[in-house]
Amino acid sequence: MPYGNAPLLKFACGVVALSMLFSESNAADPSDYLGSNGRHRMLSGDMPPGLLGQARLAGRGFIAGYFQPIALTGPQGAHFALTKDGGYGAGAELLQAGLLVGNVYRFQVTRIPDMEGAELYPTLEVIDRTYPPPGLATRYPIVINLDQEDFEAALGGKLVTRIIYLEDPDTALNIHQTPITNRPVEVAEYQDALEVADRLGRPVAIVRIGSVAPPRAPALMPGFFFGFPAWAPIQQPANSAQAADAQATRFQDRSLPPVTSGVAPVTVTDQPLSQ
Amino acid sequence: MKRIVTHMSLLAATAILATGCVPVRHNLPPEQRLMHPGPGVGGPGPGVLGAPSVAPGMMGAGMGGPMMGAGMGGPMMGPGMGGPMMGPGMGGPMMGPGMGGPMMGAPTPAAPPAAPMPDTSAASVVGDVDLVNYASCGPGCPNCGGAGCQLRGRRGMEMGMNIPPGGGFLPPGSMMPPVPPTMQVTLAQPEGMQVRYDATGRGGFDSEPLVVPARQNFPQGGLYRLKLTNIPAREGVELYPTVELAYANPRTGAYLAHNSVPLQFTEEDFDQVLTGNFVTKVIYLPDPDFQGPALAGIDTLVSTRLDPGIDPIVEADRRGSILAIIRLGDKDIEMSGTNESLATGGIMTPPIAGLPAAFAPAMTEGCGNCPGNGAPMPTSLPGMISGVNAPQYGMPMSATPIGLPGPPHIPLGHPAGLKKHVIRNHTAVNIPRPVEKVKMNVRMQPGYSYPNPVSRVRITEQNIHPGVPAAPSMYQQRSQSIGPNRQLR
Repeated sequence: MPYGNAPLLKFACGVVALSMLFSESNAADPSDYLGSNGRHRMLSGDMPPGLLGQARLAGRGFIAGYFQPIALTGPQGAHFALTKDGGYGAGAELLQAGLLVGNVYRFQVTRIPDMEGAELYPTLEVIDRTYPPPGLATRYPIVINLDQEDFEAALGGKLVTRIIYLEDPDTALNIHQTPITNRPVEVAEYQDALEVADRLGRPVAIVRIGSVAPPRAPALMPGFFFGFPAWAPIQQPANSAQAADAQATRFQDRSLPPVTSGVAPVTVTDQPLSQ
Repeated sequence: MKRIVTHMSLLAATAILATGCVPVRHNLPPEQRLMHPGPGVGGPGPGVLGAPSVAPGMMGAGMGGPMMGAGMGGPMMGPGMGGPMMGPGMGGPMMGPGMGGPMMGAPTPAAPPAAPMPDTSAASVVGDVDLVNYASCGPGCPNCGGAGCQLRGRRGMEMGMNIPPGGGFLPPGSMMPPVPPTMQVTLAQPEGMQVRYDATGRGGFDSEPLVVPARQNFPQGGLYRLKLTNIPAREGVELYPTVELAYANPRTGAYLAHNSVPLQFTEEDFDQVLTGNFVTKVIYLPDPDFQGPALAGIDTLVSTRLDPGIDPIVEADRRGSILAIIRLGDKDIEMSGTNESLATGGIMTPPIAGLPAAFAPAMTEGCGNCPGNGAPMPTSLPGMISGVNAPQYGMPMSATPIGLPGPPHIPLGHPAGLKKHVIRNHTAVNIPRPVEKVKMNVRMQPGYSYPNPVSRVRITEQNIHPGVPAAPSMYQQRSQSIGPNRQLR
């Protein structure tokens, strides 16, 4: 009789079903721990400075030791300077230098408009390189344009993260972008700026602006300046007309839009603790 | 008869399916995967998908791992040089001798006056690394060790020089004092208040008074006692709050590297304390889930503003990462007879002259003084490493045979519960064998079509009324010399 044990079989099936039901109810759904984007990302924009660059160095391609040209500008009158002789050299409104990919550079911002005496020490992390035509690397730098709102938010106690990315050629708008017309993509606090930049293109640099000041103890200086990484100066053309022409050409040829993880500008108050 | 037809139809359909008459739709991997080595699959392949190989805290002897460059292990580097700067790309041997220069902390060289513009000649390419040749520093460049900056890349890596990531040259065996990571604290309110701390490790408040607003760097992971005097509108009141500073973790590392932590006392805090209450203020960095556009930056929880029974520390830890904890009461530490500040016995000397000395380590998570390191862990190193400075919880991420991350089977911070993890690869793989002979038949459509070549030419020349020359004939003139640039007249 092949079906003689039918009641026993039904009972066994019921036990198995019940056990499976309880086991399923106790198991946590992995999606409960996913982020808002529905997946885990190994890298995010709020990681400590240096991690993303080192992760890029460990990735595909050999780009260690490459000096990536950058051009740093800001509001009219603001001066930028890199470390020199243990301190900061004379600032310039247009700071051009070649920075090592993967390193973190702490530069100085002075003469901020409408903020007399205020100084900021943001960091610039080059996390990838560009591939300009051979011999024209200094003519096509990564253009980083900082806004007045960034400085105001940083002096208000906020941490502003700007991620500069190279536009995806398949989705980029066929419009010339200049520092004047280039507007950053502002993301909310709960969004990952790096993820947004990854979606729009290829991130190449990160600028983080805060209100921290240099330490007074000399022993803390290497840590504050991330070990004084080497950078290569880019000389301006001797002729002023050539310089203006080169600058205009540089800005018209290419501009890299940034993604800003920041907030609306606030006044210089102790905003965090007053909430 | 119907049944036979039905069976025949089913058999025919089965035969068609089995023989592959259905059009085969090939599905190739994406283009970026095809660029990777391997059979169309990128990624690390089978194994554990670990975090990117960052070697941030490789200074300590016990922490030196395979990512260390040659000669970079040991205590020769402080946290300022380690941390994010240490990686396989920048660890010692990656840099060439051209980077040899002063020790770390050496200034970056200034632009040489006679530095030429970028040279893009082919000679500047070292190996297969195409460097943008900037102004070569020249023989006098201190940061390049007099060898010029072009000697980098793989050639430099082969040289195996002991180059710190920040440039310069570390001679073997050089010792650098360990420097702990610090947290910059801004004493914001009330203005005019004076703050003292223990600067020598003797248990007193022997520092120069800080007049609020002021800033001071504190070593992370310490418990500090402050003395508040000259509180505005409260003559003669002296308070002794404690400030517990947490270690930086990956969540707070970026913030602490760029911002200071504001410590401020409000009038309400002083009123609560002077009426006998105990105030606990927790300053934390909210997680993104608890952070809206209106609540950017750090936040503070005050015990006197929370509902009874709610621990502000627990609540702040649930909402984000704790940066600092302020505990404020009305106990007079320096009252004669108690001498409690000197009797603690746990006073630690300041690691650097001028920095405040903690009287106890912080009770927060993190590896402050790792054995063999001498310096607390830099901010870039993940605060919790399973099996290293935290219990063995298991790997938070697993891998799949096709290079994709596996399920997050463990919520971080909980004991391991997963014991078996099976992944079956159901991907249809059809990678044909390579062919031995290729026969190519080429046909262009449309083909070439030229007109037939000329095979017969018929020329008819007809002269009507040929002219009579009026001038004397040539043989009647005298001889003339004919050169290449002369013509007959």
